[in-house]
Amino acid sequence: MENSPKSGRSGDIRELVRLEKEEAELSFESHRFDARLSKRIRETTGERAAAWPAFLRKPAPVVALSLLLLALAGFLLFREHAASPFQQTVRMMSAVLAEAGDGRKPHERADAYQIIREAEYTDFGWALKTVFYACERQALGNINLTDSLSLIFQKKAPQALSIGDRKNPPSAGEERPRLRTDEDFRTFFIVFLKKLEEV
Amino acid sequence: MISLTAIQPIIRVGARQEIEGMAVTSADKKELFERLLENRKTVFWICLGYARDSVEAEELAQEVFFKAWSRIDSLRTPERCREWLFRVARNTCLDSQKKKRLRRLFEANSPREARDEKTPEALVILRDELRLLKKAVRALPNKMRSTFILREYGELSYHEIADILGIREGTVMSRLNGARGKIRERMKGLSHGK
Repeated sequence: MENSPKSGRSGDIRELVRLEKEEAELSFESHRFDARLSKRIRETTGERAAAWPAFLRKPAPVVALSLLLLALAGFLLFREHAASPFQQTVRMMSAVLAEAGDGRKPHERADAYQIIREAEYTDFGWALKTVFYACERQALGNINLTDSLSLIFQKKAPQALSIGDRKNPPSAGEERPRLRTDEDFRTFFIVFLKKLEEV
Repeated sequence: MISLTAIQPIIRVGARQEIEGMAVTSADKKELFERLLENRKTVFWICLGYARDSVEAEELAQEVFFKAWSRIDSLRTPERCREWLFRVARNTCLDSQKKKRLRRLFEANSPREARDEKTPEALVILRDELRLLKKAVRALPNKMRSTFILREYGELSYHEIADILGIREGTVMSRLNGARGKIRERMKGLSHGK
């Protein structure tokens, strides 16, 4: 039915349409058409892009943006002048060990582990790290933390003490510090922290 | 082929969209628009059916593709983009005619018809016939006119027309017959009244 032969008059109409299309086609050039369309789209793209500066010309967004930039700059400056990782480590060790000396468990200071793991370590730091990891593994149930630290430092203390005073290492006959009691440990720790801060 | 470098950045805006449950990227959209552009001639023919002449038809076709590019995000069934494009074309042409009708209320004479009088002698008869055809097509009711133009100018199949207009193929055929009959009568009346 769709392709059935047309009657004369219907054929006339179709023929007229065909002639009209033929004539119109003479003036229709695809590349010109595409170029015009492309230009129009490009212009619209430009207008949309130009909408941004217009947005920025309004006072409220400019003020908000300025405040945001100032806050960002302040934050960066603060970070620049904040304590170095080494200083942070020293402070954190002081805090954790002070609490450990009071009988509190290091795992209650979960943030300390993270900072100590990431910091640079001296011999003393490595010794502490060993203790913390041991505490983590053993859940600290029946362990006397102060005794454990003392035991560790009995082995590590000579090297640790020599960090800030390498020009005068202890002589072979000189007795190395022993940290047998809590008082010994606290004394050692205070002296050591002072040395660290000097470094 | 049109340079799509200008189009790409805008298409990229909101680049990911769900179309039939699948994520459509900007590359898909670019490809889709290129597919739409392959139908530029058919769109031009359809616009010619609604327009007075080829110049106006080209303007309308430009408008159609610009709209298609702007609204490509709303295309939910990419595999039926052809029908979607022709629907955009039909709506654009009908909108344009509504605006023209309003404009004509304020215009006494059409400059285009005056220009037609200056055509060479050999083409006068054909021009007259074409003008009669145009008038007859314009005088058709909207539904019949769309069916006639999509078929005769756009050369679309009955199936495609039915899809675009949201009617059955049988209705397409009956509307076409009705349109042809009315055009014939109108052309006869116009030529006698001349």
